[in-house]
Amino acid sequence: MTPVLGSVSLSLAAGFGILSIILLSLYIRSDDYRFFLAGRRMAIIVSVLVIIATLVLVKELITSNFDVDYVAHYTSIETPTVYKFTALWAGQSGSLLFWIFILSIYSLITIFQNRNRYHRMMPWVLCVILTVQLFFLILTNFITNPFEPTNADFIVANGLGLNPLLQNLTMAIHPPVLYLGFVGFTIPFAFTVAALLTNEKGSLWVRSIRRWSLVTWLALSSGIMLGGWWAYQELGWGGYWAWDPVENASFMPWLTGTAFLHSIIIQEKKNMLRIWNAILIMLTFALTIFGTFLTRSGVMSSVHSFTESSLGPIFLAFVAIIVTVCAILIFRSLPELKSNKHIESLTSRESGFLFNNVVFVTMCFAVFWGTIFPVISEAVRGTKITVGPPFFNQVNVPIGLLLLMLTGVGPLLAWRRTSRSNFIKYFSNPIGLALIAAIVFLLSGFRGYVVISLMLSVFVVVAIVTEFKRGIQARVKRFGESSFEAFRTMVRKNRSRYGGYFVHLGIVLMFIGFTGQAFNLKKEFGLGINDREHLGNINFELKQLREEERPNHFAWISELLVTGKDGNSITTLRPEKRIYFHRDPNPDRRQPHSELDIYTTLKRDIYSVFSSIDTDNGIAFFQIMINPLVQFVWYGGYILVLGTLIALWPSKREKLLM
Amino acid sequence: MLMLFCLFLLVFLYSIWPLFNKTIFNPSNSQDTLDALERRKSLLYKEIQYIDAEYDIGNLDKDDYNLTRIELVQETSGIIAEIKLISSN
Repeated sequence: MTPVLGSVSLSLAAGFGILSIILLSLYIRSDDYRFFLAGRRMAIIVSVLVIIATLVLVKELITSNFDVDYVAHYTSIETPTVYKFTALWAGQSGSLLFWIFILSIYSLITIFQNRNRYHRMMPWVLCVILTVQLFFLILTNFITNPFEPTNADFIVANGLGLNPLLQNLTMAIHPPVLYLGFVGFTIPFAFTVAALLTNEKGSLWVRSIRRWSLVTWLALSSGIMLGGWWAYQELGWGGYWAWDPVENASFMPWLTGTAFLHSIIIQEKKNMLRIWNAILIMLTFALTIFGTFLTRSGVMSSVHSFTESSLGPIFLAFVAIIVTVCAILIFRSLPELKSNKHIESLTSRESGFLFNNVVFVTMCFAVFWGTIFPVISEAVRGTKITVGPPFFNQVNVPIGLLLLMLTGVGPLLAWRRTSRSNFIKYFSNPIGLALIAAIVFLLSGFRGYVVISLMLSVFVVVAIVTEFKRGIQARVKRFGESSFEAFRTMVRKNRSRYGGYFVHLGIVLMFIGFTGQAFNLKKEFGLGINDREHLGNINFELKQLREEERPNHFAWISELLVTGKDGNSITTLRPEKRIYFHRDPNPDRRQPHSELDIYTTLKRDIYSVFSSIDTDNGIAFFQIMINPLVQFVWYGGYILVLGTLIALWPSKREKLLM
Repeated sequence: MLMLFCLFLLVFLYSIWPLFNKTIFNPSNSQDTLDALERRKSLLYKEIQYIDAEYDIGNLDKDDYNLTRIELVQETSGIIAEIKLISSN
């Protein structure tokens, strides 16, 4: 009975969606407000029905109703309840339903927030949101329905269970956070389309989307970082970023979204770059849909799987429609969007922002090309040419370093133009200290990108600290405040700017963490009880190996004593080798999994993976990695989140206008 | 099942109810315009504060500061006048 309720809710949502678009279109044509009110109510009902359908699926997952194919595929009786819940986004149909679920919540927030304003834009905004909802409703109703009954001609007593890799708490948080970011860009996109269609290009448009974009960007950034954290904690290869298509799918809209957050400042302050901003937000949205297509159509595993289901072609057609409609809209609005203001000097902050935008978009293009190249090569030449991390690193490391440099240069440039005297005054300290740092690093034996990255990190930190110092000094001089009070007031009065500087500091810390990868050490060895091996100047001794049977897996638990070169004890690591579905009579269904253990300090991580076991001889095989400075990446992430929250926090005046 | 059907009917009636309500009129578009102007005004005030701080810090040359401030003040006074005009109408 309940799966039927879910299925019917999805069908009704699609029906109400179509009716709502018709009513809103009638309002746009006739200007009869009653059509708008009815259309808006129906838009609310669409979202409520989607939420009901999602709750029904969650209920089916938690109660293990294996009559539903999706439930039987992604959960089993042994799956812990929390992972039964997270199975909602483990498979294709569930994740697509989850996509519309989040969009529906966003839609309700948008309707509620703007119930008494933007009367000209709102019908269009709702039409765009409903069109996106309808697209996903078509997919979940007709192509990949999560409520599809199982087609077995016997009673399914147990399900296949959730992939062990997904049975991790980070993985329970990472997809929803990432989706919040991914889906969230629909709202700024809808406002942009509405603004272009109603000829609203002023501050109303910027105001309506700036906060949304920032919230969405925060969620996307956090989602990407959680993904990296999960990969590092769970996948056992010692890294957090592998340039795989799924990661790239989230990274591309992040790049264009970040470019947008910078260039929107120029539009707010100077009323310039309006065309560019509209293009950026449209591109970001198109990339989120394209990213969903990449990860959900199966095209990345093989171009042939793309045609096996109709999901891929429909997705691609939707992306093509978005791009075409956006191009027409931009082209049509060009005369009104053109600004009569121009960038006055190459050494102005405006130029800095524009240059930073160009670099972000270039990086996005490089990632895009590297991601789709295997697909294109397979489609055109019949052989798949894989583009691996070496390509991405070779192209993106220099671009990334250029971005890092611009992070420091931007704040030091003046608006309109930077005079020669100011240039010397403000750049001499950061450049001087960065050069000194470079010499120290060179003398310490570092070479190549490592030196450049660390030198630029010093440059950016000094530039940001200088900015804070100058701001504090100016307030102390003008208002006679104490330094602390000046700092507090300065940040409070200009949250977006100083919040942004905190974000930049976070980025610097992340770059320091990335640089640490150049010094990674790795070794694989087998150990019997009391055997000892070393990596670098660290020794590893296997002290104990025991077995344990747990509710949903069987585990071998090792105990590795880690000591320094002088024999001092550092820690004891307990990596595990697990077999999930170990009670399954079919050996092919049993899934081995390595649960790793990491000893973490700011200086380095000692990363241990229990890769396999020879039970006959009592030998356990381990992969050990020493990863310097990884913690900087995560601390950088925390500071990035903190900075964004500072930038997001509304001032008293903004609260009144919200 | 019957209860669900009744619920659906109620929801549907709720959504189309405004179509039969003859007392609903279009909200004034001038409220939107006023809203936009108020937001622009607030942004301009913030911008004036911002360039004052930028000048104090030394991020703006004196000529550029004066020019930018005059531009901002002029735009603000234009907007205030427009707000007054719309409000009085």
